[in-house]
Amino acid sequence: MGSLSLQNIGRNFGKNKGVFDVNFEVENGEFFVILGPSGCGKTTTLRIIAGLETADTGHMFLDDREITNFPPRMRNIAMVFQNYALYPFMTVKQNIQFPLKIMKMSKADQDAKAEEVAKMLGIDDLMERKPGEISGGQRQRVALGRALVREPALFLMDEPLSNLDAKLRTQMRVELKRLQREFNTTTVYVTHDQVEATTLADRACIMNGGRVVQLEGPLELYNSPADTFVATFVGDPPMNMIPAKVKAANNEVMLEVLGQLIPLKNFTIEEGQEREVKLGVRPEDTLVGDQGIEANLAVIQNVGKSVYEYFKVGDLTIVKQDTKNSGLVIGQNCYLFPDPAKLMLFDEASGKLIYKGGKMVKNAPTTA
Amino acid sequence: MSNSKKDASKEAKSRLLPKHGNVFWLKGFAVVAVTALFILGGFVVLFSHPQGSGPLSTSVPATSSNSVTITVWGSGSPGGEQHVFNSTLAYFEAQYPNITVQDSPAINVASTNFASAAHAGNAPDVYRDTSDNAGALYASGSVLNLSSYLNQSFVNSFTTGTIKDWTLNGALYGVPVNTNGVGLYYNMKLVKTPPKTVYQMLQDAANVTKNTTSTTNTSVWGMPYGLGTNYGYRAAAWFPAFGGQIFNSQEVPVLNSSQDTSAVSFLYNLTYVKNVSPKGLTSMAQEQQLFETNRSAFIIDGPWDQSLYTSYLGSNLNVTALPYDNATGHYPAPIWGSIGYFITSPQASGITSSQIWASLKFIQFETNLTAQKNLFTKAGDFPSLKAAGAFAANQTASDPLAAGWIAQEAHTQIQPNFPQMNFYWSNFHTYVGNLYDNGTHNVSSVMQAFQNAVVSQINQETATPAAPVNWTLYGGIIAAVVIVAGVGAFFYTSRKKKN
Amino acid sequence: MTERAMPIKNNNRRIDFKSLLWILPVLIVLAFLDFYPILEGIYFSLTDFNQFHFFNYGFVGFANYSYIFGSPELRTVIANTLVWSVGSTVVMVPAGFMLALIMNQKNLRGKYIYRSLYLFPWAFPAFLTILVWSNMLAYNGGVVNDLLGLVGISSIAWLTSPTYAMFSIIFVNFWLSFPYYTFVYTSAVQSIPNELYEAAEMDGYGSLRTLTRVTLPLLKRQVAFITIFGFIFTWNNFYVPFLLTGGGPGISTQILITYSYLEAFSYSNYALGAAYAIISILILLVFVIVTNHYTKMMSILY
Repeated sequence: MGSLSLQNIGRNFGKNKGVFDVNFEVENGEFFVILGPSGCGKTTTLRIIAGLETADTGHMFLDDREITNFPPRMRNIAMVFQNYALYPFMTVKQNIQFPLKIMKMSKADQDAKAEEVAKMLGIDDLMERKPGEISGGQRQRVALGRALVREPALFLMDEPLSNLDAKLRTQMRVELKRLQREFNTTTVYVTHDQVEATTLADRACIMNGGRVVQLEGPLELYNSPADTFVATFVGDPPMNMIPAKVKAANNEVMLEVLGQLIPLKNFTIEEGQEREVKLGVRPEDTLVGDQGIEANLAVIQNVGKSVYEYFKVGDLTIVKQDTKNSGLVIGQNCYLFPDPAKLMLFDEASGKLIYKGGKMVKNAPTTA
Repeated sequence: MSNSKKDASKEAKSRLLPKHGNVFWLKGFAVVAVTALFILGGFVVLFSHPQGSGPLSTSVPATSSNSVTITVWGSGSPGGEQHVFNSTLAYFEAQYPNITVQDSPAINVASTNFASAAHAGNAPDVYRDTSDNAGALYASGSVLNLSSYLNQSFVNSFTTGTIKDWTLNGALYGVPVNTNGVGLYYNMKLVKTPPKTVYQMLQDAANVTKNTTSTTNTSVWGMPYGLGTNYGYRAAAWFPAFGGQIFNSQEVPVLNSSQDTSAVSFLYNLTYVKNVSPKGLTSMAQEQQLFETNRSAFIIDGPWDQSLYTSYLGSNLNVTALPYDNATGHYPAPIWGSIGYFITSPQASGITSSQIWASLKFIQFETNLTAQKNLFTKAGDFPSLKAAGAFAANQTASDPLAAGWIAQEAHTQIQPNFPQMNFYWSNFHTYVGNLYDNGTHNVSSVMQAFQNAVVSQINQETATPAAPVNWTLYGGIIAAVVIVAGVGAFFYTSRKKKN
Repeated sequence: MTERAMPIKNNNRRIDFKSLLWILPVLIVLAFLDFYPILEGIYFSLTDFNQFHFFNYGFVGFANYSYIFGSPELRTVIANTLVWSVGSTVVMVPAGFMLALIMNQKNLRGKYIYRSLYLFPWAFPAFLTILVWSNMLAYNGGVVNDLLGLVGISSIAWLTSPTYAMFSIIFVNFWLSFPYYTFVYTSAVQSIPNELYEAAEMDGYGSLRTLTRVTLPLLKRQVAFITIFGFIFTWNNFYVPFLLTGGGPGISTQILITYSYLEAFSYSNYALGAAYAIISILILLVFVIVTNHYTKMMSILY
């Protein structure tokens, strides 16, 4: 297994499309997820690593060996494609053995290898079937088997679970994580599903517009998003974003949000100044109280383990999540306020996180 | 766990496959349906065809004032011929306002469309075609015998040759509108005086060829003659020059005679012995191209291409009769054919007596003196009417080209118009063409094979079945096939159903 | 662990007369456009329908067939037909396939220009193309012989010698038809998902191995179908031999279908022409049934 390093990788398709200045390191045995909405450049990045796409700029190292200009077959990288890319005319066994056929390996070794991998994947009883005769989840396993059988230095997966139904997806997620631990493969995994990212990743990076926005552990992405994009992309339902203003007057720093004033601790601002910000509150950090922002309950969604309540405040919709119903009925007015310890503030102009957990963020941009 | 997975996928598989019973039932049905349709169709075909009825005797009114419509396939070549046809037609319709003529100018002479249409009973009422094609069609029963409809003085106004050309077994089956054949064109730039004998013609050709340069593109040839290219129409002129003929008076081919063999040898030698013709000519167009560009001295061709040659050679173009063969004492006699109008039989077109009357009026109009004079001046067609011929001779007394044609007209053969002639053309192309292209065959063995092929085809076509058809035998065979197919289909489908 | 409790009951065997109604129009159209002409052709081949018996022809049984089987030409014509069909198919179908692969290269620039260009020979009226080729292959003054002359090769009678005539018509047919096969294969090649190629590329397969291990097995059915279809089409392809050599010299380029035409329309022996056509169809039918048995190519149509 190997470690991967991308340095200033760029690929310009023109019209501001492509990937730009991508830097990250994937350690040996790590499960690394690239997360982002469609068109953000995550798949392109993966294809550049695979060698199916060439980088215009930058360098790429696998185990300290530069592979930037290597053809795919010399990189010792395996890839699992979104729609599995199984050969319909071959049996499961032949599909799994396909990468071995080109290696100098005896027939017996090939069979043993395929058998071993199939056993680990639980598909050893399907070996003589054709891909058209097995279910989606089984096909997924075959595709994994074909990638695993080569024992590559790096393992790439391009949204491998997106063609499965929801239940199977959850199941396969667990399976994937187990397999990755078992084989100890260095894996780069591309997805647009943040739940997959949080459940699978040792570390994850979020891409937007062809650039890496944030690179951290999956929980950090949730707890301290670098900017409004990450904040709204990670989390379901997304974080409430409310335009607000920080005011310093009478030696008090107050957050003015929708006409309400909330005292702010530890916010660095000069007396008499104002600063436009975005208030970010996770649904679970939205509280109902006796006073605060006046809101009207519009929709209640009860999914069993939690209840989502959607409030209308003017044109805004604010979501509140709790383990149980707040007792309000639809159409009822109430007062909402953010948990002061959990609220986040983002710079209005740059969208960067400036305030979180009751204090200013280090190196946060000051005034715009 | 794994077992249930297996079962699940098995079930998935069986759902994907077509339902057995349904498909095989359909297959069985298809077999039965097709068999039934074939049997049904067979009956339809067997009983729906006209099984030979004699020509209807039709009395034709002397005049008619009822409005009548006739269909005509004019078949004239674009330009002069069609122009004259149309102006005559316009005048005709003015004279006979009760007759409407529907013309299809797109159809050529010798069209295979006509046979199909006639067989289906959809032929036009009037068709303009060559005398030999029309002869074969007359023999098939598609053409009306006009002998009883036309009076003798009308017939006598045409030249004897053209009337003979349109007569088969004593029946006049059409009215000629022109007459022509091939002669010997020569380029006066290369040959000053026309050859009077075959020997002289070969000398001239050899002299012209001798003076050529070596490269292919600028070579000048004495007498390019692609023996295999023309289906024996031009070659037919040379059989009489050697005392031979295509068919003898009993209408039996004599192509393997020593005279015919000598004639074909003579033509073959132009390329391979006398070397006055290039090898590998594949079309008449190639001969014409050489002649048009001053790269050949002679070409054997008809008056229909005269305006084309004039446009290239101008006053250097001249024409003369094919020269006398002083070795045999005979003249070559090109086939002197004729195009004319004929009326179709009721069987071929469903023509009514008033339509016959209208058609007779129409073809008399299209072949009258005015039309033929116009055709001569506008399209260069040589007239078939005696009076129009006199007019043409008068018009062209000083024209050297016309003089050449008149000289040629003295030595011609009437185009054989009996249907057996049909076998001559394509077989000539196949057999003599092969001889010419190879340059290695033995001429007399080729002529023997040619003769055999024509005889065999005539026998095959004219043969009547030796014994009456054994219907029990054929009915038995058909019944057996149907039963075997039905039983086979039954077992086939039932075998599959069990699975 | 679930056992299938009951065999699935098949309720579809019942004849549904309403559904017969839906296919009735097709059956009627087929009966008139397909069955009737075929039956009439079969019937004509059993009569003496020719210029001598034009209206009063009658049933003569298998006389035409026995005449054909007794004629020395039949063997030559069948041999010519086979050489023509096989010769054309083995060059034009693989050529079309290769060109389709080349034209579908991912990195090829100006694909659309090439596509329009190679469509050209096919879209151009075939008889004009044949006319041009017949001039180019002419013995005297033909471009081909002129070019050969430049390199010191003496002129060859491309169309008029039995040795080269068949070669020439096959060549011209190849030139005329390979764009069509390129187009047919283009759609087949494009139907292969790109991932299958990329997966092979990542596993270390080069382009030749990808062709033999991935592309060809994936297109097995299509290749079989197109090849056999091409063969059938060529077998009945009338106009190239008819317009280029007219079956000559001799009968060295006569194929069954041109010979049928010759008999029917040059010799006005319609019955014999029909018999030749029926023989041609029967040979073709046997061929198709046998090849379908081995290749299952018809399954592409199901």
